[in-house]
Amino acid sequence: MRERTLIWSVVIFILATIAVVANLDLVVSGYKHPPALLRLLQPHLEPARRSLHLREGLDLKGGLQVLLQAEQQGAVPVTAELLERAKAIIENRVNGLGVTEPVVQTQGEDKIVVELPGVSDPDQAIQTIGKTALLEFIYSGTEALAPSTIVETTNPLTIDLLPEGYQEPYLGNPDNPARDFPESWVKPEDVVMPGRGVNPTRLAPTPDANATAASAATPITGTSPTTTTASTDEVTATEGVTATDGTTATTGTTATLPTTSTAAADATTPVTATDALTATEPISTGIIASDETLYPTVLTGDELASASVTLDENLQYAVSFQVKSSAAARMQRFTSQHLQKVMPIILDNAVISSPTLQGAIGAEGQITGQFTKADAESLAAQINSGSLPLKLKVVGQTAIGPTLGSSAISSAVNGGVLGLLIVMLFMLLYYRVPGIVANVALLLYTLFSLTIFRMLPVTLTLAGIAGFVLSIGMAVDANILIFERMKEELRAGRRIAKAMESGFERAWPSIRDSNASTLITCVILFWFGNQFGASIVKGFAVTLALGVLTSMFTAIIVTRLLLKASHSLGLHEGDDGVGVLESSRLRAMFGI
Amino acid sequence: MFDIIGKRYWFIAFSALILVPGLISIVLNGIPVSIDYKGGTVYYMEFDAGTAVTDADVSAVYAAQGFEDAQVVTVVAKEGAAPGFQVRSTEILPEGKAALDAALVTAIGPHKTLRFESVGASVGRLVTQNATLAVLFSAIMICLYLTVQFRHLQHPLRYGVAAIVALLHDVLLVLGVASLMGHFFGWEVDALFLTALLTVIGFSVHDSIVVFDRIRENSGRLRGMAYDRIVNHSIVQTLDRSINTQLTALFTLVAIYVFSTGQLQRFLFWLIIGLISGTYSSIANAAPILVIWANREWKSWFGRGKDDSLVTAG
Repeated sequence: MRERTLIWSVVIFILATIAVVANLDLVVSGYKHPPALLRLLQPHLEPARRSLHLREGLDLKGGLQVLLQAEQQGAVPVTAELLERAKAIIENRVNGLGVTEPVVQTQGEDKIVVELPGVSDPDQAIQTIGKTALLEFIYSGTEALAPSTIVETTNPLTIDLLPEGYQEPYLGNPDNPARDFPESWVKPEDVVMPGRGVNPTRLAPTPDANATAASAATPITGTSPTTTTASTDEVTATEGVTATDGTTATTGTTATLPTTSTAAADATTPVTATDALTATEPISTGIIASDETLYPTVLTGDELASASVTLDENLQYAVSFQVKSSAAARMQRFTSQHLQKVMPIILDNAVISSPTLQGAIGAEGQITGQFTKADAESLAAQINSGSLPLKLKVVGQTAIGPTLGSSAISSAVNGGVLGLLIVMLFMLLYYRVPGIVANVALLLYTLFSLTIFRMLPVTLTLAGIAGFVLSIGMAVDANILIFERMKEELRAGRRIAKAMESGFERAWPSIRDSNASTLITCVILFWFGNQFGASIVKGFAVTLALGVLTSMFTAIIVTRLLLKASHSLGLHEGDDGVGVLESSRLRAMFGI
Repeated sequence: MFDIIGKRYWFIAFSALILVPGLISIVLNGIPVSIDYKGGTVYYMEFDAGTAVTDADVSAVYAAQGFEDAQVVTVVAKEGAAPGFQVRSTEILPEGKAALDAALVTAIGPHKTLRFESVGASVGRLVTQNATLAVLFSAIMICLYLTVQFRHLQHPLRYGVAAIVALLHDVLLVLGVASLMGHFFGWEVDALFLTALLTVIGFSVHDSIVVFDRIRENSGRLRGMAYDRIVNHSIVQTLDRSINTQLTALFTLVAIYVFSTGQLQRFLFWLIIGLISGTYSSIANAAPILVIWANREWKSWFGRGKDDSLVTAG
């Protein structure tokens, strides 16, 4: 029995020492936590991320919270795996923004919440994290595209729109590791622009298109048994591929046809709408910068190894990049064969710049385009993190200026300290000696809780602080239950040591059950907050739950130990043979 | 010694009395919900000090940007101070915010974003749905937990149900006050309100449990005593504890309440109301319900209209 008491005393003493050292920064300005303490308390974190300072949430130090919802992209459904990938990419981008302590978490089945404390420009941050950020180098022949023009390309995301047989050149790993353009594509005069495979609902042949198609290739007309475009009952299909010399769009000679031409050439075979190569618009090599034109993608951002912000020769911000070795040869070959032609660089289908190829680009190059510093940083971060596999929509946003938060924190902290003092005063006056013991336990509780917040770490929000302060009020609940029981036992004439024991014993079921009910609601609150990125709700649930658990330790084990200690120190002298009730001194000590 | 059980119908009548105004208000006015539940945007902006601007100016810019329904509230309008406005509108998307900010600068002048909160309508629906689920689920879980913990007593389910009725009292009271505050002061029920409500649920049960626990203990020790006497005895024995715990929790809550403002202050307001209600209902409703149930007193409610005739039946 004595041994166990001794062991607990040592354990609590060590824990208390650690807690004091961890919280020294509250009183000593400029205090740095010793590295050994970081290693001891945060073995679960990477060394670079270890830090024992109290983390303030968005509502305290300002910042941005964005809730993004994933939308289905083409035929690819939103899966947990894709969401995780998108999350990892966003994390990289956020790190590229230089935000300290960002939080990126998936929420529910299709949402990602991003919290960026202290971000000064929320709008720019949203741009950076939420964009698909598919960077493409495309080919537009001799035409320079104006910045911000929206263009359609043969990029991997639209690949399923391409007719079969045209897809191969664009398919990346792993299906076609040697992704390359057909031989015919790498000579400028042979650059081919396939017509777009059109989905059935768009299959409304215009006379214009028919005429064009007729002049360009053999039209194949057949009744499609599967198509729903019954209004025309006709599916017009042309081979849709015209090789031109780069200037005349529709009058060029018919180009080599990929494999699908065999099916199309047989007029007796019903042609289904989705397989049809339909030219519902003039086929061009990119002379007409309309969204009807499909520009060939030469290289995507995924094929870049790294990017960084630099200054170009005019001292404008630019982004320099390195091409991955797997793609460098192709880039080299393509650019050297297309000198003096335009290779626009586009991001999410919007043109950034339209440089003319002055020389071949091999392993590295530079993107220029009237960037601000923030633009360039954001683009570099996006290239380095890769493009998102999902399209993300902003469905919720909270931006909080720094001034609002700092006034809130001081008021909450002042309130908390005042509340703590009142509770301690009350305990002292009402319960006397046990009250002092409870107050020591309460101080330890506060220190332990703060240390746990630092350790995990828990990000403190206003509601979190409220939850913590509330848990201070509740932490003494266990003590009140125990002491009330003790008083009852003492009034019934029991000896002090016996009264203490049965006080703890009898109060235990109440303490257990009531705390269990609070923990149940905490779990449900956490679940509720987790569904839609309400970190404010989660923060409250976490601090309250940690508070309940910690208080069970301090209010029961610590209090018991201290009471025993006070007993063996002889504070209650005169207890021998005399009931408490007979001694006025003892009555005063226990507030009876 | 207090005789709470003997006056149980008075306590229940008092509960009904304080619930009625709020319930009437809920029926008449409903409970105003914030953008957390219905979707939309709240934008709290502050123009540079000395900018001459009224809420009508801000409204006009919003309307020009396609947000005709914007409700503008002037937050700071002191001479020389930076004028602040809080504007509620339908959801403003990130692109929309950029355009709105540009328009505000052109029409009025430079401004800072103190707070910009936007919730999509689909998210709002999800929140409302989950909020309802959360309240129901926590009530069911607590009822189950109590039934299991009190399984060695006769009729363990009664303890769970009595605790839930007391809890319902607290939930209805807080909702009723929310409706009244919404009607008279324009308060809205947000995600933090639900947090407060769920905490109140946990606390209300806290208090009920302590009383029930004593009943459990006394039932073993005081065999032969009438059930309603055991219950009353248990309430009185735990009264000191109930009041003291209530006081310490209130001390801390009131302390932060005094220092805080805005959203947090309202959150604390709900907690304080709910906590007081929780202690009252567990003493004055939960425990008496056990007695009423044990006596099956409802048989006499309509027959004789007298309620004190079966008190000692056990």
